[in-house]
Amino acid sequence: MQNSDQELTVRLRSEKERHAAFQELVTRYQERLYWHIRKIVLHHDDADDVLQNTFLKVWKNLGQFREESSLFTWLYRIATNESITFINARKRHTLVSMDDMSDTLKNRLEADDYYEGTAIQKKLQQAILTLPEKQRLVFNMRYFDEVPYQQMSEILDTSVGALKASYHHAARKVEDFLTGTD
Amino acid sequence: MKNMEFTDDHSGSRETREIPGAPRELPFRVPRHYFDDFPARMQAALERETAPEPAKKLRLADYPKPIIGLAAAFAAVFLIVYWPTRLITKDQPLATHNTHTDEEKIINLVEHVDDHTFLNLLEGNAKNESPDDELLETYLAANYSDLEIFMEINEKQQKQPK
Repeated sequence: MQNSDQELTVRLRSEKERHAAFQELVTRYQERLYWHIRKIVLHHDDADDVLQNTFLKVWKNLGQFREESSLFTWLYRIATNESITFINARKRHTLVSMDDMSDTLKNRLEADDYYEGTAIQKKLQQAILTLPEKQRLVFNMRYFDEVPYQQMSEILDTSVGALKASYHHAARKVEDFLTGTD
Repeated sequence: MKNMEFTDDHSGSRETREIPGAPRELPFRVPRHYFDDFPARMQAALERETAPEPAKKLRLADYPKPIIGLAAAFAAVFLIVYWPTRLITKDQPLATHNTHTDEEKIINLVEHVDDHTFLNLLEGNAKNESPDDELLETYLAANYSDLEIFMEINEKQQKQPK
């Protein structure tokens, strides 16, 4: 995949092939980026908007991709930033605090037509919503996607040690919530 | 649903702390054919984004706008700067338009003075005393050629009655 990413990067730089290469990029990464975004913004319609914004930003910033990180890490970082920007914009728009934002997200999640799951899955999502923003991000990336800490560090621009500590705290809080000791 | 593209973890382990009773599957789904349709929707969004904006047609009413804007700017400057300044300095007399500088005064004065008087002024002899012969000779040598002096003397001699 890495080789084909390099090939794709070369094609994205070529003026002739840029459009076709970008289409390929969208097809290749849409699903993975969508699920990453969805875990942050929760609602399908919001995830759809953020995914589109992410790819538009990728298109506009193709010239800035320096290959210091892998293409996917770069995409993941843009998707994360777009998701956080979206959440913050919503917070400003509705003028709610972070705690109230968790409630807002929870209500939106329950109203989503494309949200379904067992009782325990719903409870897990509720537990995740109680976490601070950064811990929520780290927990989702690590628990559901098993993103390596090193790669997470590149995406979130945070040290591996801090990420490990963040995940440890988050996992303990979630466990406490699920066992009803929180 | 997991993102399988990540490389090996340099921190040494991919193990993630298990939470008893917490499933790793997400309770989300997407509309049918969502991922099949998304690339086409994305392409349309990209075209919208990159399409050049149509040039705005100028109406007749748009032409005087810059002039009105400029006039408004001048009026604003007048009201903010010139008018209050005039109010403050209203009681103060305006500066007279004395255009003659000291230099010009000297030039005007000197223009009406003949060479003889000017030479006397320079020497500090303001009275109408006639210069001595040596001084006169020096002055003439500096300002007239020999030919001019000869012609002038010759002319005077011819005029004198014999």
